[in-house]
Amino acid sequence: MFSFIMWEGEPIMENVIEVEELTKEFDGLVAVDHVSFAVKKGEIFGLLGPNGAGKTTLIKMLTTLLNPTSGSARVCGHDVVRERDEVRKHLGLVFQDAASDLILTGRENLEFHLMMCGVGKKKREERIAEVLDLLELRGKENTKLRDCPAGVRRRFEVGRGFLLHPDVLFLDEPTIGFDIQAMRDLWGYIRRVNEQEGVTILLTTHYIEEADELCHRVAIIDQGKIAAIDTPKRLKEAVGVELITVELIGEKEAFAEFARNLEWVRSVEVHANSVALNVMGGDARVPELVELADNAGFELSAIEARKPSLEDAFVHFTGRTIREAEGDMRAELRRRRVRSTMGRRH
Amino acid sequence: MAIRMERMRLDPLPTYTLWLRHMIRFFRMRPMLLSTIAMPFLMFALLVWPMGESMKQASVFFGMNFLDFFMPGILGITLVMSGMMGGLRVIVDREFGFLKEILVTPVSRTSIVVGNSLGNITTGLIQGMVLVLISIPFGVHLRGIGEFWMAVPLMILTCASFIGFALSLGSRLRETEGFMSIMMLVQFPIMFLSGAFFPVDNLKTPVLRQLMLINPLTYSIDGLRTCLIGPTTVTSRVSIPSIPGLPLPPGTSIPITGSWNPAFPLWLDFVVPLAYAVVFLILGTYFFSKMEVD
Repeated sequence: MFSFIMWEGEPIMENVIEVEELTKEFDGLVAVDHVSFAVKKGEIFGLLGPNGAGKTTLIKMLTTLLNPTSGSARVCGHDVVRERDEVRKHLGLVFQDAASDLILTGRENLEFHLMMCGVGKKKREERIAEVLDLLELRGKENTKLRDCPAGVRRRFEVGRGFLLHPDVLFLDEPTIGFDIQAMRDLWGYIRRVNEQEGVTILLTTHYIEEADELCHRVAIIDQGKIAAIDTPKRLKEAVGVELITVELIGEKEAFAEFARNLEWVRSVEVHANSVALNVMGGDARVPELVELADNAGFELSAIEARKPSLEDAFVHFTGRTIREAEGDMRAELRRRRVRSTMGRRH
Repeated sequence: MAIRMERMRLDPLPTYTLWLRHMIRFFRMRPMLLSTIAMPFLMFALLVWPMGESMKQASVFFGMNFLDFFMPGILGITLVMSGMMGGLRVIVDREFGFLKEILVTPVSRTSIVVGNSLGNITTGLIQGMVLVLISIPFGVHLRGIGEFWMAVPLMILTCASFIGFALSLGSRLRETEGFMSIMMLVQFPIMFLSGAFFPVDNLKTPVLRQLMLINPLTYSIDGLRTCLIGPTTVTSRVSIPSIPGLPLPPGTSIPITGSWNPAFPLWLDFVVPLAYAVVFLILGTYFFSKMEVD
């Protein structure tokens, strides 16, 4: 049932999720475009990309809520189209958007989920108590969700995903709407579930920090395609060793040309207000660069050196920042909304 | 990509859970509760009773006291309508995102269809009972308590006969408005050609009669009438207007007799709605197997 791969000399591991050339089109709009990847047992795997990159569509196909247009995927060895019932038995899911019955109380929503999964009364009580404590929802569980603030509703939805400890947990933007403290607490819990219960986790996020801190491996996804998959460390290394950003008065192109001729500069990018240099040799290059530029007659107004972040990796692999990509998305959404008033699909 | 329909299988706990959710919502939402009780009352107070008062002599034509004839008809229509409303639940759940929470659980799609149906059948049955009770003070002559209990399973079947259809429709449509307009389109012929408003055997027009015979509500209402009221004979005095040349004293009336008998054997009244319920249950399972939520 499982296929096996070798990974960095570690023992042979099972792939819990295998995705091959998975594609989903909506009315000619390609949301997910021939995506392939595998998630190993016990991994926290992140899909990092802007809103509208196709992350949610991808998760919905893996959780049997959407049928792929083409390609295939297996979760715990079961095909997501042909063996949907088996797949559903193995997964837990936190949706990105609201998915609760607002007339029911928080507790009733949790209990509904457990009963639908066939869990007996005693275990239901235990599991609900644990989740209420975890997400600090004690005292709020008997209020109709309609009367709860949005943050509380969200916490109940996240809690529902953690009710059972499934083989694979899909988290679609789990920390959206959380404050920093709640976010850090949830990260801790995600790690604990992963380490102690061995739950494999696939999460989507557009928070750079979340992908960087939490995930063992990250896939950078943009416009329905995966641009790169690796550990956060190696994704950053692919960008370069050190980034020096220079702001200067005068000709940026001329400065870029000058920098390209320095042997320890790996690459040069000219941005609207600055020039970014990718250098080898660490912080020590900063004074050296200042001196050389000064001698060559350039007037530098600011200089900053830093290690590449995952954000830089995103730019490196997709050619734009996450925020730029989201700007596109908003325009795209507007277009889609116009279309949907004419057509059927939202 | 070909999506196969899954095997039909009923999971007891999830089915009960879906029913329970329906009940909690029903009793928690006051307007729903109120309309369940108010609707049958309004039907009688504003429709059936005034009609009966204004056309007393028509009883001969129905073969039955006017109120007695219409009560089972209105009951049948009420039951079908509350069954059909089950489809609306699917659309509203989709809108609020709860549908994906239901669909992602490892519950057989048959259980989802049956669980949702049972909820609507229960509320429909409550509404039906209220209607029967309310009809008594208005002067409907019930046949007897034994026959009344016979009517209860038939009320369930009446409600169930179209639920699978409504759920299938709900699974295909995304907008409430679209659902309501198609529902109306389907409901009207079912209501009008069902024997709710006139005796089945009085209609001999070819196509219309055949339509009546394939309508499960025709059988439901026939059965409800048999169980709740029973075969009857009524005599009514029809006043004769003065005719020139005939020496009649003014205000003369003659007695006319009419009778009502079941159009079908009682077993058929049970079997046809049951068959429809089963066929639409399979259809519903098929559509729920194929359904996508985005």
